[in-house]
Amino acid sequence: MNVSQEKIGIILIDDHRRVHQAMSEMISYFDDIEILAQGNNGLDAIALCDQYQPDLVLMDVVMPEMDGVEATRRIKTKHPDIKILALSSFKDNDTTRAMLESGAIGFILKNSSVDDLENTIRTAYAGQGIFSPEIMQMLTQPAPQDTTEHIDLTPREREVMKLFASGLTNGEIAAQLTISVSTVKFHITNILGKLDVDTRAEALVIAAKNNLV
Amino acid sequence: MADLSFLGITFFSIAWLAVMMIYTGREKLFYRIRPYIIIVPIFVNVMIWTNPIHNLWRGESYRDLTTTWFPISFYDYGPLFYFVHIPFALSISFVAIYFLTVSLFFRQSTYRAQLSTLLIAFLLPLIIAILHLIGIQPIAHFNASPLVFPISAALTAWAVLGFGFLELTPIARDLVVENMLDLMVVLDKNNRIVDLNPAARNYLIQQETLESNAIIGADINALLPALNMHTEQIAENYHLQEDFQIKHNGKAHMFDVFISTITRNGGQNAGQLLIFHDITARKQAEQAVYDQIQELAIVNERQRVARELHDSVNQTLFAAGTLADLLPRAIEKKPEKIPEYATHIQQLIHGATAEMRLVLLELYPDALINTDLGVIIKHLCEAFTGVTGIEIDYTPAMQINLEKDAQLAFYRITQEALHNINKHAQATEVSIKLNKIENTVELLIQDNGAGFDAENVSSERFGLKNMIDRAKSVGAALNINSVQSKGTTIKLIGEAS
Repeated sequence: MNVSQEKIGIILIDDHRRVHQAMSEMISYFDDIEILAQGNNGLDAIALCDQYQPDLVLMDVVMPEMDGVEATRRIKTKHPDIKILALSSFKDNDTTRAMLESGAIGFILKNSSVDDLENTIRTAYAGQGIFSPEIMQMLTQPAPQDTTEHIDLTPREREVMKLFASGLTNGEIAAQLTISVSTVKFHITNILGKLDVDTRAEALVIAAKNNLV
Repeated sequence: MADLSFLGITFFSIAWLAVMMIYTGREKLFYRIRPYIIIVPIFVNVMIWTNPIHNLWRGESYRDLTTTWFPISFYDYGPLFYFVHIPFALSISFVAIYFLTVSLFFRQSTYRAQLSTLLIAFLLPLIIAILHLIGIQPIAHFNASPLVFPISAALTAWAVLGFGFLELTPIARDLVVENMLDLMVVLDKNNRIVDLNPAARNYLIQQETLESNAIIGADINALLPALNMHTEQIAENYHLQEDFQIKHNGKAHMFDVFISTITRNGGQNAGQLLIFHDITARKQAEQAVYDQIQELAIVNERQRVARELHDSVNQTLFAAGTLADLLPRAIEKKPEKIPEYATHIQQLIHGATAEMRLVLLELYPDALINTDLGVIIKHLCEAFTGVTGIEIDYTPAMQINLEKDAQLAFYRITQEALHNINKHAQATEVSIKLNKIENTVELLIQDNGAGFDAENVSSERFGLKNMIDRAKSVGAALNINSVQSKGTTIKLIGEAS
């Protein structure tokens, strides 16, 4: 081991305690890699990057407070040199692409072996993109078409829709939102127009299908 | 006296406009414009009678004895005739023709013959008059249009009486009101019923609040107290109430209630017209959709919990896999670590197994109710250990029988409590005791973690309110006792079934 050689400094961000434990055990076997700090969510990640200026962040994607996508975007804006490697158990198309768009250099799944993890960390540190085979396969497929229609309701219309779906009458909705009944009717007319339906029952069905209620 | 003969000519166009507008459904508009358009003929007539003073209507008359075999008294007209009367009469006539022609095109074909007859009756004298004006005169200086008036009148009479259209409309209207499904009630200004259609009678006659059998004259507020009609709440065409309930043959029907104010000439309030529109079928359809949405929400929630558990299983297995992968390196480099890895791998694998079982329980609620509570809590404990590395000191009791809702509440409260300990307590020791004492089931969850100040912690935090509500909803007693930096004790007592 060459002591004078600088170590690869890593920050580990994950909201699972056991992942932290296992990953730090693993890193302890690599003489040229060290864990500078560990955090539980995206906010921790931003603060720790400011503090430690790591070479690489191993970033979980789905986390409380702030997810990996947002944290990656902010860190890359502030520290373009820090390489961010996504480490996730989710392999759906949207999260993967969102992480890459935010500036992650690679994406590795939490089913990888220690050898794969080590190889991935070194490749990413060298500045090359690297992905788990499953992720690679998914990225080379064209993105599937979004089957749900895009429905653009205002926050207020969503509120009205939710209350309406819970069985309240116009009067009750008006009372709850402290607006007038005619305003409620106005919102409902707009909602019907946006969903392109004529009756309230149809609107409810479409809203339910699209998770608007 | 001859001047009086102009009365007919000057008002003729307006009379026709009146007939055409009323017939084509523009009655209101006509009455609104009438005061303005009659100003012109009134003015013209006044000028005709005062002609000798100003000679604006006609010049000197003279007798023409040369062109015809009968003598014609002839005079030329003045500027008033050419620049006021004629343009006015023609424009009014063309407006009338426009209305008639438009309805000729849009009415059903059965009305076309009638409309065409009316149009001819109107055009005949008009064409003669125009020809006369532009100088095409079969007999010089003789205006023949008065001669065709009788023909025109005969055609009009035939069109009106022959087709009977004036009688038809009111009858059709009555039929609609009599047969419509909506309830129609006319009230006087004291909210007493003065008229109603059969549909309304059918519903109102069944109201228990009806005194004697006299609906006419009954106070609507006595009959339908929930309606709460006030004379002062009147606006024109007002949507009075939605979801108004009236019972009929023992079933509740839902109505949208609309109110229109009936005004006398001069705008004073004469009473109200109430329309009750039956929306029962629509409401039932909506209810069916609500129910489906509720079910969908429950399924969605169940899937969300299952997905979270599944994610947790993944993390647990990833940690176990990584530690297992490290074993060969540990044997070579850090043999002292091996017992620790072994313990962790064991906890993680058991935890993953327990989590997988919980996923199944979440997805199949029947299983959650039919599995023994002691077993379910054991899964929760092992899953907790898998995630946290903290072993739980669990004292189970078997054959616990709870009502199914209570079983669900015990499960969810334990789940929530363990979640809180994992996320907030930083505890090192956790114990759970499940006990059956006579007819009660007692669950005790204790930790030695950070605790919280029950006085100052909002019940919204840590899902405390959820836990309390859940316990309450199944009639169980929940007692949360927390001491800062000492730990928290949760005691849940329910009734065995």
